[in-house]
Amino acid sequence: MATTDAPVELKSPASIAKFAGLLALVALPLFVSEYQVSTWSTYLAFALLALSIDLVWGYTGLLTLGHAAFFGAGAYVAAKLLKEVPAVPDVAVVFLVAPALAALLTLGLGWFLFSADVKGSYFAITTLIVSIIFESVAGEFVGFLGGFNGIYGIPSIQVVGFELTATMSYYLALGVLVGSYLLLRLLVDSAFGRVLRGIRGNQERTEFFGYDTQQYRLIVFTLSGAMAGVAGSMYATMDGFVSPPLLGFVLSTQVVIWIAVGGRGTLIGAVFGALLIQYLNSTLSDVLINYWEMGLALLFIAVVIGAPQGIVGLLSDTVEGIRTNLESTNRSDLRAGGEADD
Amino acid sequence: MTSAEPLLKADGLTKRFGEFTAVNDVDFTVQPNETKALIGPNGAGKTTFQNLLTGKLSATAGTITFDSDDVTEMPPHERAQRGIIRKYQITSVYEDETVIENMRLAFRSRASSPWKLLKTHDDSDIRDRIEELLEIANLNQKQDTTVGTLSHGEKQWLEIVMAVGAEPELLLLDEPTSGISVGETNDTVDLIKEIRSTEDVAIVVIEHDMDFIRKVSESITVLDRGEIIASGTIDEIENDETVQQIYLGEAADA
Repeated sequence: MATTDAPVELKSPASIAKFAGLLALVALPLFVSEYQVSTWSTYLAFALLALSIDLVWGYTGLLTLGHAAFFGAGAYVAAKLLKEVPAVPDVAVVFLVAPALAALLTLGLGWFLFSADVKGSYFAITTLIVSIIFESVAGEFVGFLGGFNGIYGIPSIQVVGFELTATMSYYLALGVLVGSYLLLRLLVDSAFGRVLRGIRGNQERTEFFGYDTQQYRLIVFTLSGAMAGVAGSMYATMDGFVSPPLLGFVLSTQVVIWIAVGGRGTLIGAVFGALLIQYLNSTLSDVLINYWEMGLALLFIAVVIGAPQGIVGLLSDTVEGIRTNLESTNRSDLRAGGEADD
Repeated sequence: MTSAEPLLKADGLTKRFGEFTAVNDVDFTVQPNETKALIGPNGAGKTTFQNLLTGKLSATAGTITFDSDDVTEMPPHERAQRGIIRKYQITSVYEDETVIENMRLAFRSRASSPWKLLKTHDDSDIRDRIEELLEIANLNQKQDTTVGTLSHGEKQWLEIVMAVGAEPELLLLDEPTSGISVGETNDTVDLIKEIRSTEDVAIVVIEHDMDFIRKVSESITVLDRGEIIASGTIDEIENDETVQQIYLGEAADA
């Protein structure tokens, strides 16, 4: 039947767009300076943070304004260990210790919040406060964490005594981002992901069908925390400098805006929004100086009012609309002269 | 499970909110595969009673036994896992999802280990059963429709078949006709009759529409001011003087 092939054929615009975006990111180091490669590496780390927040906010409906705390915790632990404890292999620090610490923090906080069934704006405010506490604590520990000056001179990752170049770090970050995206894709497209959307849409109904929503929320929050931790530790090794704002609520809320602009609850929207706005920020803030912040605010308001599903949502709706049109045209062609039932 | 053993047994079930007693010393049993109706005027405690059975509220006193186990202190999701599934008075479905996704979510709830669901990417195993249930709810043509755009009656039917899909042993239907037209009410009657005849499930229908009750259930329990005041067959209840007073009183108010 012709109609069975059609969806696959017409679905491809989205896959083509994703593939083209990935190719552009792979090719990027060939066209820009080494300094810019480093900058883009940090964009990728923040995109990973955005991805982790989208899982919690976009899919499960829990608006977290505190994820920078876990990102920053990963960044600080990597900074301390890489600088001062050379005995521990860098790879273990970045990919095991940092996410484990962040996961432990989210597990503890999540257990506390979900067993008390904290949700909605209360969840947003509590996580926000956690972020503020983390930021001020880091600022207070002058001797141990460098206070407001932070920690600088963090070395790049060394693998068996060999220090990664800026380009290698970039590809490592890209690999981790793509891997995490695919992992989460698998998760949200499973029956597990459906339960998350159920919690987002109607938590009580989901509970009364027999799902232990507390357990689901805790799993998701902890996994997301671990991802934020990896994002933070990679960021620390790529930027070489960490300071209290990395833990703070300004960063947390910024990332939420990136996701809203890109398209909440789509995963790809979080990555797209994060990369787009960071890129615009770096290019436009020089030109527009203070007007850039205002421009970003206007863009955010425009998206919230005009396209609440974000840029990615808007695009996919457009493609979907064209597809439906094409399909109905196809169908009426096929059925020309036949009966018009559905 | 022997037929002598009731599926559900509420014993001296009581719920107080401060000074106010919403449910007072209620004894209530449901046998496997039995259909029962629970009626009573507004404020009789019907919804509170259901909330106690499903675990939304915890009892002040009394016990609830289900399948011979004490479930009085059990959280809602564990009771649902054991087979107590409710349909809410105000339809409670996933408005932003499609009909088929709503069904799948309900259907997967019994296999609710998160790890198992993580590995589940294919829904063909439950497709036939979902279509069978959507067929009796007249929703098979609307599988891909977003639930938010369905009519009120359609949402009610969807929630009922979703509840059936969750493989209940006891199905609690809270006012399945609230806010829908006469024609739709008749369809709801057909749907419940169909479920009674094809599914292996006990049903408790909570209603105050006597005409509706008469069509779906033979046995009735009447609740008023938190207490059971009568219990019996339709004829017995309709000829009961106390019940008549309450219902005539309510009809005069309405």
